[in-house]
Amino acid sequence: MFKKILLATSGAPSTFGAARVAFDMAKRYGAEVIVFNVMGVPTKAFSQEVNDVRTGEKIEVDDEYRAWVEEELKNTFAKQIESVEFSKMILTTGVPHREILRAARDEDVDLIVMGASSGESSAYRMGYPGSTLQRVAKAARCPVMTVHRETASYWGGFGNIVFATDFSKQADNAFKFALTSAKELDCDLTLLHALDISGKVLDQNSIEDELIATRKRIRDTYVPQMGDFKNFDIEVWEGVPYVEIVKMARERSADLIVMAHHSRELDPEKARLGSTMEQVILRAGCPVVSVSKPDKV
Amino acid sequence: MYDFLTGPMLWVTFLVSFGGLIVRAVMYVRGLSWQLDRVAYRPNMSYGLRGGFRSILAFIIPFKARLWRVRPGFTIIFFAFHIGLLVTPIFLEAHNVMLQDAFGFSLPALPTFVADTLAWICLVGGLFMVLRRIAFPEVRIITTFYDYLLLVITVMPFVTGLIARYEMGDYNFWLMAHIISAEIWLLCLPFTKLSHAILFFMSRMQLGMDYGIKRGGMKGSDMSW
Amino acid sequence: MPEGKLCNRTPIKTDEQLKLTLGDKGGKQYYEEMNHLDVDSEKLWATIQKTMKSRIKTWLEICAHCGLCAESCFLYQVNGRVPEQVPSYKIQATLGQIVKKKGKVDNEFMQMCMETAWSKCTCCNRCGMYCPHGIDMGIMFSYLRGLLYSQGFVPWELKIGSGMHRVYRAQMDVTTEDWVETCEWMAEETEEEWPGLEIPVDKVDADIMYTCNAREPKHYPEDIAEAAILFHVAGENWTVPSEGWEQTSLSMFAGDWECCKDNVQNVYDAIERLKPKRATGTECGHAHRATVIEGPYWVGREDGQPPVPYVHYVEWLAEALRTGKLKIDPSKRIKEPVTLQDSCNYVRNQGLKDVTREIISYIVEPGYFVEMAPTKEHNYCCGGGGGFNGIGKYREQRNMALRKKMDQILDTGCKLVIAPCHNCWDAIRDLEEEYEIGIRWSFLKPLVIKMLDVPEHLLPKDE
Repeated sequence: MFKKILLATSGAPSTFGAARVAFDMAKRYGAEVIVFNVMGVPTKAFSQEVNDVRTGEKIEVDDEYRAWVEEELKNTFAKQIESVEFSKMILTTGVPHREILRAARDEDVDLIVMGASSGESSAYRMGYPGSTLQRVAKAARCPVMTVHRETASYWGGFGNIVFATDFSKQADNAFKFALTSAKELDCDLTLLHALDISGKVLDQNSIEDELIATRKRIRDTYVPQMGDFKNFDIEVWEGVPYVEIVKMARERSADLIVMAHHSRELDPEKARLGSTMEQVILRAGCPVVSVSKPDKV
Repeated sequence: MYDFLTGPMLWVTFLVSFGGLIVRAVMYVRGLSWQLDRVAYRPNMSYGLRGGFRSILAFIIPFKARLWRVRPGFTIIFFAFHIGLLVTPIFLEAHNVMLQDAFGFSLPALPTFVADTLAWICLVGGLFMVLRRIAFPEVRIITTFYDYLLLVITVMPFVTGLIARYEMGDYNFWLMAHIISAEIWLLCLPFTKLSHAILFFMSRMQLGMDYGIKRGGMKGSDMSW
Repeated sequence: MPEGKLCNRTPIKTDEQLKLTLGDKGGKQYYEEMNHLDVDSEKLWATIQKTMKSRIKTWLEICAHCGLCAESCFLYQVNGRVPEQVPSYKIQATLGQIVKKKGKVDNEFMQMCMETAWSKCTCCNRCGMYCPHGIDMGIMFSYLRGLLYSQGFVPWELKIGSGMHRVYRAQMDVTTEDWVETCEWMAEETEEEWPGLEIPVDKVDADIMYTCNAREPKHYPEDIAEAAILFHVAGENWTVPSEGWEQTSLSMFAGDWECCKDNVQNVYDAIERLKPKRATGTECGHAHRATVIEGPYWVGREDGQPPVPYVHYVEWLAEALRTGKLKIDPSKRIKEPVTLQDSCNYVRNQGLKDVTREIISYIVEPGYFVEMAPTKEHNYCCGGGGGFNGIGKYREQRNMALRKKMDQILDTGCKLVIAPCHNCWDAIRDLEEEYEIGIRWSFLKPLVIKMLDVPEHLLPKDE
């Protein structure tokens, strides 16, 4: 189901986890890896002079520099590139999220893999709100996988998938992706809804009633779509959503968390602080996939 | 000598001087090019004229344009100098007597005190002009000998005129000097930078038309100079 | 060596030459070759005789050397008020001298002229407002740039810029395919939140045709999406041309008049093909100046008007807000001190000072708008105009120039600056990067979109 994977990397060590997963998946499932790097954000006129995405310092991008970056990346990922059958490298300049989306569209990729940064780098700040991840996840037509913590990248293929739902339309798309993955990759699938009681003190009976009702809702919403797929569990737990999701993933030794991304809120304050998805990405011990559009599910 | 200077020579001087200024004005207008200047003068004449007049008025009325308002000291001295320069010769009693003699009509004459004051104002103004050329670096760097020369030429009729008026020294000599220096000044008008007497209006008109047509006037937005 | 491989009197006309010149890192070889470039004095003087008429000739002659222009020039102010920055001095020492010497000037002199014309003047035209004679030195410097360009003495980035326009008819290497692709992409991306949104390409007889800046499809396609959203919500019958979609003119900054004419003709041809009722551009100052204000003259239109009414984006936006095509939710208006940058090219130079303020009256809560001082047509250049932003050789001078705007912004005490102009926006971004005064800056489009009161039928069908 993954024929083309776009690995968006700055070449920095923080993205090695994402690279590891991307190349592993490619090897396992015979996909092509496109190593995609944005060399810098243009500062003036013809994008010749850019602010390096990692360091923020000014560089002149010419053929020489380009070749040097390509060399660097090839060396960094030498072993992994060897291990997969098909790979290529694309280097460009521009605003990172925009270029990632552009490449993903042009190449018609099935999955984008990124190492999540917090997006605080000033090289990104162009007066546009939202981190690279937020903007990519929001607009990408294919699922976006993020690998943040180092530990999240040590895995041996997909065996357990946790799908966290909030019953939104995007969650439907995310579910389709989770189901397809589970079926094709022969995994166990956990359907989880975290009942948000953060900051509230509710009556326990009503909580438990809610749990039952939600469990039924999951059953009614998603089970009919499963066909003859039987390897699933339905879980509903109360708590702080991102905590519950991370805990469930840990408990099930999940290799993948699938969630819906649908925040239209691009106000950096609102979207960043406490966004469930961001928190899950930061804390999960495995890759997290965000799905919003129905295209590549 | 006196008869010559106030007779044929004066005629020639006025002809060349005013005629010359008119020629320069005409040459200026003929040298305008709507395409090179990038202003569509003819098709939008009414907007152009409106813009042009606004432009002239803003700078010919003290403290109207923002430029004058941010430089009050200079504005006062500058306008005083020009008023003294222009009003005195036109409304001086002595000149008007000559006018009456020659053509049978004359303009109202200034009271002596007023005429004297205006002449002195012109002198003092001229002096300040010279001083600021020496004192201010932003003026000094662009000032040339030519600028000083023109100031001297302009002020000379007033110096000689006042000396004659106060009857210091040989009256006839200073009177002659006054007439010659005045005729020199008049003759310089069309051929030197003193042509700004007419070209100021041309240049301002042009810029005003530019703003009145292309740069805002036709959008209903007047340039508030 | 009369002419170099990169630095010469021939404009860049082919993609090959363009790439060759681009590949010269920082213009090193280019500027080296410039040191050996001969001046074609005959051609120079012949050009002047043909193109310098009453207006400029009189300006040069009639300057009273009064020095009043000094204080009007922000570069004079910001560079320690050195006399060498007095506008009159700057132009007399360059163009004035060329005329006096009838074109018999040498390489060194021309390089000095280049430095003056592109790092000591942004052609903001402010000096013309403060000269009693109405001598517009900004226009003279623009004229001088034309002379310098024709002799090959033009900054590297602008030679390329003009080349880009000649080869791609856009200021960056964005082809027609790239452009149409990007429009489709943005329509796709934006459609979810704004059902029914389209970016119609080459629609005939639309009400309004939209043109923009090549930087938008190349790097910031969100701008296109935002324009589409606003047109969509306003219910405009709009279109973009597949060719003639780019209205900027780095060639104007470069002094490449032939290219300027061709650029404008390209856009007007699109108008001819698509027959819109009127046209509008994006939020860009010099694009408007080149295509709408000066443009008609370059292509020889005697009435000085474009083929159809061609408004600046702020005019369209103000009209949309005024007529209620776009409604603002009052609770979402800007409620922090905010100031406005008056872009020279359409405020001083087309009088749109009140239009922008009308928009402000809709989108800012009363009492929060702080004017810069001085304001409107008397406001100062952002520091990056006339191509200043793009020239690496003069980066230092440009950064110095930003200080005037910085002081103005600091004086307002505002943390948000509205800058409806690509160049001004860039300059203010660089200002913040360089001096870190803690401001945010924005175009109008994203601000307006955030506070729109969207009619029910245009909202996406939610879960």
